Amino acid sequence: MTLSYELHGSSYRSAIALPGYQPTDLPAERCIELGDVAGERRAAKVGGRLWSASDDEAFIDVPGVAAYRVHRGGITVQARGSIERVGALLRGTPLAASLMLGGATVLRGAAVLADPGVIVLAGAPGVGTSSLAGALIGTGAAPWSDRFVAIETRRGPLAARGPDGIELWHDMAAALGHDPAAASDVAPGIPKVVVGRTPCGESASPGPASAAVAAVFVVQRSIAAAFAVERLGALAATMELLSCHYHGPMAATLCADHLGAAARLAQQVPVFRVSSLWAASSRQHAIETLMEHVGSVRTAGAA
Amino acid sequence: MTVPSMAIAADTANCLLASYPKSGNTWVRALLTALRGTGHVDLNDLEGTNRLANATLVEAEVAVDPTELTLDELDEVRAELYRRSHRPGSPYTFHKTHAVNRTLPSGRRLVDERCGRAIYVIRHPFDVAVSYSHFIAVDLDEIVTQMLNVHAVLDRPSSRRSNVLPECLSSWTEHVASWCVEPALPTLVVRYEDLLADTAQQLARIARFLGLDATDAAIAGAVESSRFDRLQQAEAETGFAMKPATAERFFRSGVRGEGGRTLSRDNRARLVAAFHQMMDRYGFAPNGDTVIIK
Repeated sequence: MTLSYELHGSSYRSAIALPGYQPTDLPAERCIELGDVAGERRAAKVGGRLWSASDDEAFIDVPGVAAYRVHRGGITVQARGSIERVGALLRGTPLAASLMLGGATVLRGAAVLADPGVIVLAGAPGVGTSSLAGALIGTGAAPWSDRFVAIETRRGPLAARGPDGIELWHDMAAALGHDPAAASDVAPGIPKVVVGRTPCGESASPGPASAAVAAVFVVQRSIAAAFAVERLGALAATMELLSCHYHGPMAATLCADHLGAAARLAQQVPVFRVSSLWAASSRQHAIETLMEHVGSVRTAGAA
Repeated sequence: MTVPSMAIAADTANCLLASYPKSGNTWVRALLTALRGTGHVDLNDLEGTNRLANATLVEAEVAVDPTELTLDELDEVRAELYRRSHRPGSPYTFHKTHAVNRTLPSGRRLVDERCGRAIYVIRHPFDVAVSYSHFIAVDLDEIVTQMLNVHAVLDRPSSRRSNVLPECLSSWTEHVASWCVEPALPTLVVRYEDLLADTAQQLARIARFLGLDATDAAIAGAVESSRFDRLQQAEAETGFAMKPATAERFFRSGVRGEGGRTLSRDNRARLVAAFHQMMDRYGFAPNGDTVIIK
């Protein structure tokens, strides 16, 4: 069985089902296949104990799940665990690495589609990008991407459409008015649910494969500061965007133009730094503050 | 090809500092910090941080978001990282852990002899219950229920804890058994009560176990700078990042026998009924006392 998917702007023929993405009938540019990933590898330039990357290849070993070899032709997967988990984890770093090899700028975080365009919420793990995206969905925005956002800066900037919902921890889903019990967890022992989908599992807002980026909000968790939003100059914006690249060391190796892409994006769209104090008492204030800045982007765009 | 690693020091031997929570792990870390350093103990820079409970550090090694891993998958990753990072005969890197040393779906243990060695700190479960109750601000009935729960997990993930990875804890007795009964790796068991009774003697045992060249003066200096009242004072002056918001202070009491006086008869009975074999093995009496052998 093979399925075709449009994954963050690139088309793949896949031997593995990818939860959260809808199969398409588009012709595939790349292939996700099962196979043996042992054998000769390129000399690694960077890595950890369970991964490595060279200019045109990445290798990711997840004990008990799978080994993934990412190359220009796609992704070869040596499965060791259940095929569902192999597919679930493939949607993260292996897919992001494949998109980087294709030239995309891949920012860590989530995105929603709102009136002025795609609002990207980028930041390190745990700072609350998905939570903010979930909050914006509650104000009428549509889910656009989660886990990471792939952006094409040479023809845009255009943000490619990602999975069809946003994953939230149970406690945050409940705090934002969703019912965690109404959906099953993304995996056993991982208390996250997907919000933003329609009941039939299709996207709440079917539409084009990519859309113009209206603004990037770089989210930082701040213990001391209250929720605050600050617009950045081009240099500061470039530095912040670089810090948000999905798996920075891997991006710097696989994507030769990652520095130039960050600089272009900083010139193309307004970039804001968000100091996020995500306490329940400040949540409404945070959403209102964020929406004010989204509104300012909309107004500037209209002018 | 070997490439630079980011989270776990290269070319060191692993020593796990393992315990059920609130059993004296941090005190042992302070003693080792003083013994290996200049004698000064900086609470926020102790030997033996729990690197593999830190999502950022684990991700640097595996390149996938560890919050997307199930508990079984996460422990398979940890097992592989412990094994790959261990260099026998090299200086030690200490790794604090509260995880039960369980058998994973792959059939391997979380840590075994290929991963290094371990110091296991054990404390009377009655005193653990009282200390743990203050630490996470829940009542004693609930703490006792957790200590009996073989499915207990420490730091269950949520939006507020997404950089702290969960660890399988299991019940107190399963936890002790996993590290101390037919241990999967060379393990030194240190009772908290023995540390209280003669800290220098126990630290000397630890030093011998690790093959550290520690003089009597160095041992005495480390014991002095790691006295409980000094750690309390340091916490008051500089704060301690490990203190949860739920706790008034990390170094609260430190004494032994408090559980025997504080726990209800019913809760003591619940613990003894489930733990009596392991309590007996380590000299923990049903009245809350501990047999100290000089």
